[in-house]
Amino acid sequence: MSAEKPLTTPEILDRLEDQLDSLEGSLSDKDAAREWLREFRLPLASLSANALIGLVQSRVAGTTDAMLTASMRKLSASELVQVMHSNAAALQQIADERVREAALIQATKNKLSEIAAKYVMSAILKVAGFAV
Amino acid sequence: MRNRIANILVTLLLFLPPAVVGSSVAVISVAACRTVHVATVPSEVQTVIDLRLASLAQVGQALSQGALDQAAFTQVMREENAAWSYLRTRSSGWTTPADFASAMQTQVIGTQVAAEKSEAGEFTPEQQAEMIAALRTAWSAVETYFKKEN
Repeated sequence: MSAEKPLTTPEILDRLEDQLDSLEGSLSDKDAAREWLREFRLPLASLSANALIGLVQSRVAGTTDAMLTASMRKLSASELVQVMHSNAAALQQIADERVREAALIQATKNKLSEIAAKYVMSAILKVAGFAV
Repeated sequence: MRNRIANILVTLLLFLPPAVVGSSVAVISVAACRTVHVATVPSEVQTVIDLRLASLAQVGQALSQGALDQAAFTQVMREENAAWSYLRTRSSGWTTPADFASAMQTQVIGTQVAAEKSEAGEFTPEQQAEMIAALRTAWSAVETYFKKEN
């Protein structure tokens, strides 16, 4: 069996729009999600398949595991693998972001300690009666 | 002596520009939250991550020599589903970004559906290998995310 060709983002957007009716949620929520999808078609084109699915679901009331499960069952094995790859990439991005944040916090703490040390020294000298 | 220390502290606060005081408070608060957050991650989570990475490495090795049979691959997906479900439940009480919770949900449901599809014989050997590679990436990312120094 040959591997299926991965979907392009516009194809995924089309499919998501088609699938909106089968998702749970009120009609007005679905209409709002459909309108939103169309309005943001261009900016959405740069997002991963998984992020797109998550975004659409967050626009429809009552995102549940059952809904996501139903949505994923409709995918082929190849598409499911693609979604899992996208999700792993998203997790990697979250982890990388956290590493960057941690490094930034550490660098800021170090810098603040350095600045604080200078001020403490000035204060000690002042209190001790030396000119600063 | 106590008065002298108080004087030093007051002088220090007077000397520090408001922006530095504000930033210090913000940074210390963020750092404190992160410290609490990291401290709440139990070592058993690291054990689960280690076990899954080791298991998936073995599966990856087996796949490089040929496809896994349907039952064996289904079993791996079920184990993955159990492990991600565990992590999702444990991390629900921790301070994590919304994206993280969403990614956990996708991992749990994705592996559950993968087990069903595997049982139905829908996976080709290439797709099995791709799925294992994706899962290994996901576990490595989670390991990076929960590293103590982060």
